[in-house]
Amino acid sequence: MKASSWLQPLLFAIIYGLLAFFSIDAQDSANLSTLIWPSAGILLGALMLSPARQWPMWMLIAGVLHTTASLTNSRPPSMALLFTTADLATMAAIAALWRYRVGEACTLTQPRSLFWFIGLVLVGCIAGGLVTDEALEWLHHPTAHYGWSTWAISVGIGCLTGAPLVMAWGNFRVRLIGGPNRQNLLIGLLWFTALLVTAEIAFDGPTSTWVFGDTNYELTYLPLLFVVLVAMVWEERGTTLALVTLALVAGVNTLQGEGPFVFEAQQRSLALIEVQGYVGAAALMGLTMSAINASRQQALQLAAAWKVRFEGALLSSRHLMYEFDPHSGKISWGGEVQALLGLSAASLATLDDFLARVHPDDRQPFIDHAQFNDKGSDEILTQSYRFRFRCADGEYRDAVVTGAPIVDFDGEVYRVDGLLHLESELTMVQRV
Amino acid sequence: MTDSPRSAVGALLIHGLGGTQYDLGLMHKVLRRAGVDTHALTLPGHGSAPEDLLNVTAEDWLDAVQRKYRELRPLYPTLHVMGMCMGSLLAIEVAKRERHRDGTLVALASPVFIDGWSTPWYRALRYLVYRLPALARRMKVEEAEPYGIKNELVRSIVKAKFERNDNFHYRWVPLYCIQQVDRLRGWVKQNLADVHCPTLVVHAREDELTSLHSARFLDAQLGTRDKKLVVLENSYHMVCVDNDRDQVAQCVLEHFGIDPALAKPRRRSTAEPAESGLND
Repeated sequence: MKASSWLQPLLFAIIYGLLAFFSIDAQDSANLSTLIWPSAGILLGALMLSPARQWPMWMLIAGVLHTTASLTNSRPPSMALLFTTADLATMAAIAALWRYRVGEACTLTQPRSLFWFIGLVLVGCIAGGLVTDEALEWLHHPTAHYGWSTWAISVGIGCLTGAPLVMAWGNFRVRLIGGPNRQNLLIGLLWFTALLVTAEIAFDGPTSTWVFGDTNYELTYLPLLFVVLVAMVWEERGTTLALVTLALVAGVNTLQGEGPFVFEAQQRSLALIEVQGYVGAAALMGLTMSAINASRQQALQLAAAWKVRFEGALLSSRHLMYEFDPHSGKISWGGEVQALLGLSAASLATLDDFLARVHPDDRQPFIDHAQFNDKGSDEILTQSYRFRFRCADGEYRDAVVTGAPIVDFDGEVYRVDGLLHLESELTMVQRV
Repeated sequence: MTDSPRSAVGALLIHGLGGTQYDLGLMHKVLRRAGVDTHALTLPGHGSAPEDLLNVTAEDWLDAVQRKYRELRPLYPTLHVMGMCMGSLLAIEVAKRERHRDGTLVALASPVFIDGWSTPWYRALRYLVYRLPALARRMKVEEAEPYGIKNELVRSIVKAKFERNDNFHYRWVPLYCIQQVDRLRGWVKQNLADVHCPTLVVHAREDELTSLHSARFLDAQLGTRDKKLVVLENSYHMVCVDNDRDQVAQCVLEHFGIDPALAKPRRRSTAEPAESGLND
């Protein structure tokens, strides 16, 4: 039942190869760098997700496909090898450093791992661009020093959109229960459709002209709203899908010479670089949103785990936890109130409700000892007090509260917290 | 789980897909305490590793249960058949095929329809994957939160057991296995009018795997007039271990004609401090 050894490499080769052969056509005529390079993201994602022993396989496949695509597009062999080497070395360096920094947490849904990813991609791609530029000069390419930014931007944006896609979907597991349900699917689909429509209106020239009479740069902000909404409902996987869709719509239309980033007097290359800046900003926003969402869920899970621990301790020790708010007179209960006292927590929601069940002779001492009335003393003393409590059956049982006030920064009682338990019958008899 | 009859009443308990007798919680103990001989079987492909499920079909499960039923049938004047989740589908199908009459049937959380609130949206795509047998055998379907359990404390115990790799339930099953369950569901839906024994259907309103529609379908289609549907209000799918487990045990005892008070839950009480305890 192990995953087939050839299925993943085959899938990787098909996706990487298709993107490489498609992108290699969009080449900067001056410095020979491709204007878009989403394949970088696919390679980076595979490296980030895989153990180091699999890296040679991914890099070999990527290297062969990259070089072949370059050669078939009339890049000189030296240039083809240079760009392949630069791509492989940069991706390997980013992936290695990222894995070193984040350890076992091979996910982009934690803010720390996401910020390391973004930082390393930015630094790595700029460094890779500079080194490639130097190498071009060393190889005596006639247009050397034309600029490092084309390579850095195309590879960087490819990483920001492609690697999260691989990371998110590479971890996909089919589930019998759990995961996104139909309601999530439909709500997400609504936002995803809105994203598609607004992206089309913003970037497709004829559609934009038909709706607004012209292409408007301001409209490009509209799809970003829906990227965020998709991220909130479909989480990491949906975010990556939304980003790739936005990149596709924006990129393809710009390649066709349409959309708000295209001007008559402008070169297509500049428009493609600018639109990638836009896609990069969308990627940063979407991924951050997705990470914030995921970390909020993790925090909720952590809180739920602690709640279970406290409840387990209360259950086992047969104690109830109380929290009295002196301002509202309300009591919040933790633990199995019904099982222990035979009463619902709602029937003991206020101090008056509770006192009504305390033996009349014990009420005032109870209030004093349980410190429900602050006497303003200097010492905060945790006290235990035994009193008679009328349970659901009408019988009085001995109960013990142990607690103390929680005092705020100006010395006022904020809450009175503590534990309550009923004494066993034998203890009661022995005392009598 | 007794091997030779010690009582006039026996019960055959069948666990669910990927599970063990853990699926039925304290049902064995409760029934034995009430004087019922309980019998269980480990379904083919279970109790070892999920990969072993690749070698079994729905027919194998059904054959195993039928064999066990036929083995027990002569031993008891009254033999009840009870199943949980997929086990309840097997129990219904055996009751139908064996014309079970000398005893009752209990169907707990029967997944006649896999349409619960927590089933993923892509569940219908499985029928496409079934057309690619190699992929269906390779694809793993994982168990995930809430693990069929509403009670957070019990759920945390289940999570811990999974993390410890306790062999109480498979963490995943092959999609091929879900295909077998789908075949079984198809058989169960047919000829339900042939079930003539008294039947108890128990289902949680908030079952995350299979909605109340399944229970209502059974209640409407079963041939017997002596049938009862109990809807649980505070549980998810694993009704025998969740919040309403005591209610389930009481319902089952009542259905078997036994005093439901015998299913009283374990009571907690406080012991006296030991001699050398903190009070010294």
